[in-house]
Amino acid sequence: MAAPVKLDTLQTIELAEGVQILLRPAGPLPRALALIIDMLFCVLFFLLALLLFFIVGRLVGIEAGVGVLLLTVFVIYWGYFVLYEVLRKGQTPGKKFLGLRVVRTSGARVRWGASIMRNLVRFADMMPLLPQWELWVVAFGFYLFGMTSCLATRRFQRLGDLIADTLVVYDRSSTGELNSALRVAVHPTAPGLVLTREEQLAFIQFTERAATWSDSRKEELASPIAAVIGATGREGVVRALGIGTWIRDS
Amino acid sequence: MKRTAFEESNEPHWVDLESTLAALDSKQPAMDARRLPRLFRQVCGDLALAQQRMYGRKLCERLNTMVIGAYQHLHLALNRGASGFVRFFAATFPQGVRREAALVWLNFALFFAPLAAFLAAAYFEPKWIFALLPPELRQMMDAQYGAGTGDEYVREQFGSNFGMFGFYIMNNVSINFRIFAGGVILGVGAAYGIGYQGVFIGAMFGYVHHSGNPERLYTFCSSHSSWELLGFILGGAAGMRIGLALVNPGRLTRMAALRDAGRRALPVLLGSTAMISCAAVIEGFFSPSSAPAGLKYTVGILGWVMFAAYFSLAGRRMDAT
Repeated sequence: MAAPVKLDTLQTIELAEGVQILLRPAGPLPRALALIIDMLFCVLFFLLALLLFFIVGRLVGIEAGVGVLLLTVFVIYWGYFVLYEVLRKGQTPGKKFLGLRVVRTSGARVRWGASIMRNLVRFADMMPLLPQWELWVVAFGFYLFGMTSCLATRRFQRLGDLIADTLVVYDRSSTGELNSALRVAVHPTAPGLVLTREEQLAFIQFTERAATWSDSRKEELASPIAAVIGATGREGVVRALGIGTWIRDS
Repeated sequence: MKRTAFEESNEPHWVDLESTLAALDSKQPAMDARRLPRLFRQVCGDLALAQQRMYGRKLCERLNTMVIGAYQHLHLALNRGASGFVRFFAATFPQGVRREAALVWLNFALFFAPLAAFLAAAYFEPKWIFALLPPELRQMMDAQYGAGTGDEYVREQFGSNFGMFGFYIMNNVSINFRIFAGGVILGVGAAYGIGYQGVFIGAMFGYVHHSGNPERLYTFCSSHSSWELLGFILGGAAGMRIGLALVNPGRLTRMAALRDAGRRALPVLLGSTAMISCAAVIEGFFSPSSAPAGLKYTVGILGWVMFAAYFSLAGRRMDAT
């Protein structure tokens, strides 16, 4: 039997403890937004470095000030992502804002080696670069390589992720609102026939996700199994929800 | 067992684990962190049961989050601190360089062949050098290494001070990282980056040979030459290792070859970065100092001898890490 075609992007990882965990890789859009926020933070840090430059320049001398400025800029330029990812458990400020996190493909936390690697390869991911591509504290390119790699891999990995064996995942599931109240009274009902495991799962997931769909979408999704549940339209939806609730809670 | 009964009977240790994890995340001293492994295994079992019995996504995701959180706290690579640092330079780095010997020699040739060619051009065909170096740069070089200039100019321009040290760190390490990142793009970038450095440095040296005072140049450059040039060459080799994995993955899939190449390239890259940072220290403080030329040449030659010995001998008896 062929493996079922996956519709979602969830990645199943089996731990040494024999249990499977699910990671939800983040796509290019949230990652791009996180990157923009991180660039703003770099600029902010640069302004702080300038302030430091003026203070040291005034107190010690202009040459010492220049030295301090260049060293600080060096640390921001090459260290911003690495330091945040390693010391803040995989989250730069931008990633934290968007609820993302860098992890190893095993689900473990990133350490120095992996983080340094993925962030140095960033310069390959950035290609093609802007003609005047260095804004002194942040390097900027169009991320064409990274984007292509992201879209071509199952787990949305840019080149740096592939080489360092890392993933960017959503930190927590976005399912807080899923069990919000349905606006219909549902009576748990036993299905009239024996269901396979996949079919039972389909009913459960229908029940759990129904609250996020419009009524017509619910009816549309319930219509292919009208013969099984013996009703169509709104009544079909209520039956399907009833069966789902029955399977889940019994 | 019904889901509600399952939840009721296990809720206490779930809450226990969640609060322990929250304490660990916020770096509060968690008195009961020693119980983490046991709680972790218990919740692993709960998650497996919840998945198998189809207790629904909400519960599974809650357990999933807990398991990931505990896993990330328990499965950490050991932070070996200072001994890890020593071990890296005593074994991991030279071993990594020896493993990439072929690529290192290739980058060595890519750098020194154009350099030698342009040095030769200074005596046979100086127009090559004039074609390459823009007039402004030649003027600057005349001012620094010209036949008639004295020591004072050099000291003004490259005063042994903190400012120049900062500049060398920023500039040279950035060049190295970019050579590396260029190498990732199918190796072409590294070949170009390294070759370009060779051409340019060769042309500049050739120009000074042609119409300047070579002694002034060599007294400035010799002491940090081995650290910096070998650093660039190793950075280029590390980048090429990754680029080659895409072109010639061997018996692995390209993805697996990339990961493998990343692991092999990392120690070489980190070591080369350390070398270039050391070069910046020497270049900022010792090279422009008024130490006698003989001492500077000795330091320079000792550097090359030391690295030859280091890369061929160090870490032979230690296990690969």
